[in-house]
Formats: sequence, structure tokens, C-alpha cells
Amino acid sequence: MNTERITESNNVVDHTQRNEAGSVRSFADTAWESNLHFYEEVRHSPFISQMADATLNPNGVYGPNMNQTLYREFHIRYALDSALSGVDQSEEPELYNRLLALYNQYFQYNPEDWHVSSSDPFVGTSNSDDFNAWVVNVASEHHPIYLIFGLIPNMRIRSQVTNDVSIEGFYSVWSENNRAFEGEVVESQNFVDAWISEGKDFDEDFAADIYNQFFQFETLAYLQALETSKLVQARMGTHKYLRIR
Amino acid sequence: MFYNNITGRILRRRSASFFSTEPPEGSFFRDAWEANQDYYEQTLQTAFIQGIGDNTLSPDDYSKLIIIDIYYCFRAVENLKTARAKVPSSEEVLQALFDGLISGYEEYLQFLSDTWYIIRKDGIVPTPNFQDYSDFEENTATNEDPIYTLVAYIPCYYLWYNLAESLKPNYDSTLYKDWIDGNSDPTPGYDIGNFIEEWKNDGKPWDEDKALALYRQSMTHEFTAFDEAVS
Repeated sequence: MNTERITESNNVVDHTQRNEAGSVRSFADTAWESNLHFYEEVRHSPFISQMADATLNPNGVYGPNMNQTLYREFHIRYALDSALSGVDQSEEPELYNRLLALYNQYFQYNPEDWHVSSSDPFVGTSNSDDFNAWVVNVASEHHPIYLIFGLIPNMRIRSQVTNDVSIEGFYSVWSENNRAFEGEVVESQNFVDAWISEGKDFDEDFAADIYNQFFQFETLAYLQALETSKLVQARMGTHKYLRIR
Repeated sequence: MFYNNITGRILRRRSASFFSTEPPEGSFFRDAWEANQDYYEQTLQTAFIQGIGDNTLSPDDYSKLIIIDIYYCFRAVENLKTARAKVPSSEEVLQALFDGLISGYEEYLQFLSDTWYIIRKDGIVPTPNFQDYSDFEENTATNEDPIYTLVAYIPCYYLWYNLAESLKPNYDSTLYKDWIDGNSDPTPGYDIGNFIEEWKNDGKPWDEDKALALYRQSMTHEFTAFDEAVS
């Protein structure tokens, strides 16, 4: 992974005017709308609700889920790094810069700040493992435009839920961190829509499949979040395991 | 808390009521704790501990300390095994005590694997303080008699217990109940303290000044760990 890329982000193409003008039906928005039922499940999930009312267990649920988030985000970075390696910056600067902007965005949870330098310390839930394999595969086997498109649900769910659900006080830090993805959602959606409107090679059915799969991984991650809590509570029955220092 | 059944039987055969009770007045355990009240008081005032008490500790800051503490626990298993390997076979109780400590850490790490999804220390980047703390305990385990490794680990057990005790009045109002619950057992510290007293009473090699210096060094690292946990 090339961490030097953090400092290289510049000259990202701004397509935002395109959507705001409303002149083009957004393929990205259509994909989002077709998954709204999943988003509603996330929005009303116990994980989000308990953050909103500040009852979520920081030890039994939040911390472990942050570790799963970090685990997945490391693999997103690996995937983006792989995609960047296959793009010639001089020949496709806009594509390169879009990937680079995403790569940098996924340092939102600064690994150094979290005392981890790679995905090595972590073990995944089955959903995280499936997600990681999927994202790395998409990056290595398909054109980067599909990775850019496929990552939109990951970013949009987390940023939109911070707009739709008021998470203040104790868990405001989560809300602030995830709202920061909002800009990259707009950039990626407009980038993909522009790509399509310019007539560049893009298989919409294939892209929709990838998008839907990513959406389902994300949904499951939120819905399974409290399963961790059940495990912790069961094991905490004796207090034996929680801490022995 | 951290003894397996076999270890517990060995210890209790030796003295049914000796272990798991607070070491007596005048013991090294009590004297060392008294001599380090300054660090205890300072640790109580850290934003981390205060934040657990008044429920203002950021869940991110909490999680980050847990991650880095996991690094410490992995290193602790290695260090205790190093010290354990130096214990002569004639010291059956000391062997059992080390075995209990090691299995306790291993059980905790297994719990973390199942719940916090962390299974190895590779890729965890300790702060300089945590690195130094673990290196110090490794150095103690490698270069000192095993009894001093026990001394170096007392603050790790007993400071956390006392911090948790101090927070019990806030139990109902904090989301960090798990942390208080998980540190509510003083017996690991007591067991080490009582063993040290027996060791001394048997006239075995013991340097009180050295022990106090090692204990204080651990307390220094413990305080710094909490102090640096909230930026």
C-alpha cells in the first residue's frame, strides 16, 4: 500500500454541477433508489438507534464494530491501491484522481491514530471476509470504474444516515467521521454519470449487480452489529474474561 | 479469577485461606501501593478515568486504548513465559502462580479474539510508552529473578482494580459499566502480594529497594498510558 498517495491528491475533477443542473438522469441515484429498502433497515437498525439515544455499549458493540470497519477499510485501500496501479495517471488523469481521492478518503479513520498499520491484527466476521474478498476481486478483475461505483453504497449509507438520524452527544464522533464521506459520494456519483454520458465502456447490468452486492454487505454489517453484543454479554456472565490485568 | 483448577488446588493445598485475601499491613504489597499514591491520584484525574465516571469519554478514545492494551497483553504472555522458564522445579507454587497469570492473559486474549476481533499483535503500533512498558517488563523477565517479574506486574492488576472501585458510584450513569465490571476483582494482585510475603518470610533472596523501583516504574507507565489516551 502506498501511503505517500495521501499527499498526492489534487486536481480532482468536479462534476457536481452536472447533477445539480438536473439535466441527466443519474444512474447512480437510480441504483441507490433501488436499494432504499436496505437503507431503511440500516437507518432503523438497533446499532444506529442506540447511537442516537446514546445507549449503545461502547465496549461490547461500538469498539468491536469499529475494528470490523477498520478491517474492511484496510481492504478497500488495498483494492484502491491495486486499481491505482493499473491506471496510467498521464493517460487517464480524471480516473486516476478519482481513485486517489477515494484512497485518501478511506484514511478518515487514520490507522496511526488507531494504533494499527495494516489489517494483520484483525479477524473478520463472515460478512467482512466476504466483503473483503469481493472488493479486492472487483479491483483486480474489472475496470476501476466498477470499483468506484461499487464503493458508493459504503460511503453513502454512512454519510446519509448521519443526515437522516440525529446522532449527537456521546456518539457524535461517529456521526462527524462518517458525514465526512458525503463529498466523495457526490464526486463518485457524478464521475460515474459523466462516464456513462460520455459513452465510455460501461456495462450497466454488471455495474448494478456490483452495486447491489456492496449494498447488501453494508446492510448486513449494520444489522449484525449487535450480534457482537450478545456474544459479549454471554461471555460476561462470570466477568471472567473481560479483563484479567 | 485467573487460576485454572490445577493451579488453584496447588495453591490451596499450601494454605487454604492465605491466597485471595488482602496482604497484611506492613507487607510489600501494601507498602508499595502506599508509596505510589501520587500516581494513583494522578491517574484518577486523567481525562480517561474522569470520562468513564461522567460518561464523557469518547468511544473512539476508549477503543484506541483497548487496542493498544491488547498489544500489551500479547507481550505480557511472552514476558511471563520468559520468567516462568527460569523458575526452578523446586518452586512449585511460584510455577503455578506464573501458570495462572499466563493462562489468565491467554483467556483474555481469546475473549478479545471472539469479541474485539483482534487475534495478533502484528500490525498494532504501540505508543512509545506502551512499547517501553512492555520492553521494561521483558527486560525484567529476562534479566532479573522471577519474583521481580511478579512485582513489575502488580500495578497492572491492582491499579486497574482501584480505578474501577473508585468509579463504582458512577456505575448506573456510565456506559462504561463493562470496564468497571471487568476490573472489579482484586485477587490477582492479592495473590501476588501474598506470595511475595511468603517468599520473604521463607528468607528467600529479596531486594526491597529494587522491588520498589520496579513497581514504581510500572506505575509510571500505567499513569502515562491513561494520561496519553485522550488527546
